[in-house]
Amino acid sequence: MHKAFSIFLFLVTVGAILQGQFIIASLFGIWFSFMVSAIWLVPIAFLIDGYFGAFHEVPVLTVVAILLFIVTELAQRHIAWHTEETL
Amino acid sequence: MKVRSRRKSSNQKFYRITLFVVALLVLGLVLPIVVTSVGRVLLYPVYATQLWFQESTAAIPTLLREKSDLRAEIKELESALALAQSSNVTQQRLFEENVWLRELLGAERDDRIAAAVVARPNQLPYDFLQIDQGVDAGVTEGAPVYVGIDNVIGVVAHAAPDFAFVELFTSPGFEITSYVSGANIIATLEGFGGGVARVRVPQGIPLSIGNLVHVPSIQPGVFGRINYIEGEPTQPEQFGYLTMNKPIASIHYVAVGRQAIEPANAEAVETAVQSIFETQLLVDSLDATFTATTSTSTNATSTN
Repeated sequence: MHKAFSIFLFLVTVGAILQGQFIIASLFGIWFSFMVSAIWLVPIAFLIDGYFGAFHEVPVLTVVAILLFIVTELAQRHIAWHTEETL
Repeated sequence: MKVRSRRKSSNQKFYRITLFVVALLVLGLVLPIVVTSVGRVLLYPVYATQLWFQESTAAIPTLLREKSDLRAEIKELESALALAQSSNVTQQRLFEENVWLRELLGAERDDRIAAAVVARPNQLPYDFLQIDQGVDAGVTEGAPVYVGIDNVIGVVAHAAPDFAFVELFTSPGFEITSYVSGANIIATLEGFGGGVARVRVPQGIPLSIGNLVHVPSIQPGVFGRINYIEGEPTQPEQFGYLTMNKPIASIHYVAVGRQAIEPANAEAVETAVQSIFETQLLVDSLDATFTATTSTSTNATSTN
């Protein structure tokens, strides 16, 4: 159930990014980052930035995904977020 | 035995991953063409599918698009319907108030006959209209014809059982007495043809563009406004030209008054007044006394 919900969150986040719904994408992306990990969002952001040629300028999505990964990983060390089951 | 701390291992994993993604980012910035190519190849199916749903004429995407369009249209129509219902209440209230006020003032509600224009110039000669109501509907010759509430445009020239011809005030040779507001003068309105009429007034009358021209013999009756003034100081008269407020080609419905009028010009009025003098203003007793007095005095004179 937890795995299925994680996949659902991931798909909703990716779908929202592809549809340009960045507010929804950021909400679900943050949720997914704390529930699972933002590292799964980095390849998607990397590909989307590559598709739109953002690496010729500033790859915003990739930078945001990497920052999100770093922030959530560091935050999880100070917040009692994980349960025994997830650990 | 050397034991590695779980926290330390986690930290190392985090640092490794961070280093990897940063390296990936740097690689993308160094070789953007490669990353772009890879991204386009991998994401092409996704965007192709999206484009297919958005623009394809196939059955499924069309069905989905139409469904969403229909939903949007339903929402729009529902709001329009709600708006119409609220305005309909206002219209109903105004209509009932209008009926009530007309009853209060004793006004008749069916004093006009609605008719559709079935022929107009240039199917007919200028400036005539053919309407689809005739004697059977109550149309009589000489009845005024309106466009709107008080904008009178002509009179019925001929009424057949089921149709009638309307002669417009702008017909060549048509004359009717009119009142020019602003200039405050009674003048003859003459048809000029081609949807144009004119009023003829003496020089010195302050005729100006925009003056309303009324037809006093028809109530309510406003023909139009003066659009152009032609006046030369050396001439004794000046002319104010008018066109109808609504072009002939745009007139689709008219209202015909039930009561016929006689076009009032100065000669007709004088004739009517003279007729009234001769037939109704007679004093019979005065005539008898005058005759008796005359005969008595004659007799007396002859005796003497």
